[in-house]
Amino acid sequence: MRIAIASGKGGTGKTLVAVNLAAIAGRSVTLVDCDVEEPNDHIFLKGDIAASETVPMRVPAIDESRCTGCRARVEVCGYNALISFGGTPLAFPPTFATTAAATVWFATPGRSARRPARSARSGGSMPPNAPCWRDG
Amino acid sequence: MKIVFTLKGDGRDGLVDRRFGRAETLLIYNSETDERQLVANSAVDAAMGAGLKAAEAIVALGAVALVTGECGVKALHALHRAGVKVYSTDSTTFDDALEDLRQGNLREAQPA
Repeated sequence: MRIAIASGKGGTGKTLVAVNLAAIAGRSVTLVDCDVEEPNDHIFLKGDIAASETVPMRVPAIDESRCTGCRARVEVCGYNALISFGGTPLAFPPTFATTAAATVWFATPGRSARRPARSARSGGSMPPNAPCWRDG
Repeated sequence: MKIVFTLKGDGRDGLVDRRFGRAETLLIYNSETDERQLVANSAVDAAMGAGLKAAEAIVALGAVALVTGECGVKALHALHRAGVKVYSTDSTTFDDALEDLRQGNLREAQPA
């Protein structure tokens, strides 16, 4: 039997339910903490960490030499990860889960004007051939 | 000089909201004319990044300082970059917070 415990919102009790289910489930249980930002299950359970691995992630950065300060991406970012006081925007890449959706939109601006389903909520038009992001 | 305070509700009760991005109302205080203007905080319903959006908004309003309870690290960094001073207050009312600011009793928050 596989049980998935998921919620889009933090603080709703996913870890509470997951670790308690695991604790009462008997001896042959595998608990997989899929929280990509802050996996915490191990804090609540006894045991030693057998192995760990560092997984790098790509963080987008603004290529200032190509930025025209057009604000197009500032307006379109549903996560408010970009703000502008005029000129080149300041980038505050969100943590991993949201970066994934947001950067699909930002990292490939010249490729097409097609928007990924969840990254761009506020509309806005994408100027063609104006790549202002590069992978960091 | 325009100084922004964060207020609860529609701001008419003059109660300080300790949050910045999620405060419903921004009070823009003009220190030269003593004028006070209430504006709705457009960032309040943002799913994420409310503080950054609010920071952008108050810079656009021409604010030179912000008085709030706690300002998040991203918004604090952004405001610092924009040259806006951020002051933390424990006061519950705008009047008290303004008095503390005038007396120089407020601590200026610095980005880490």
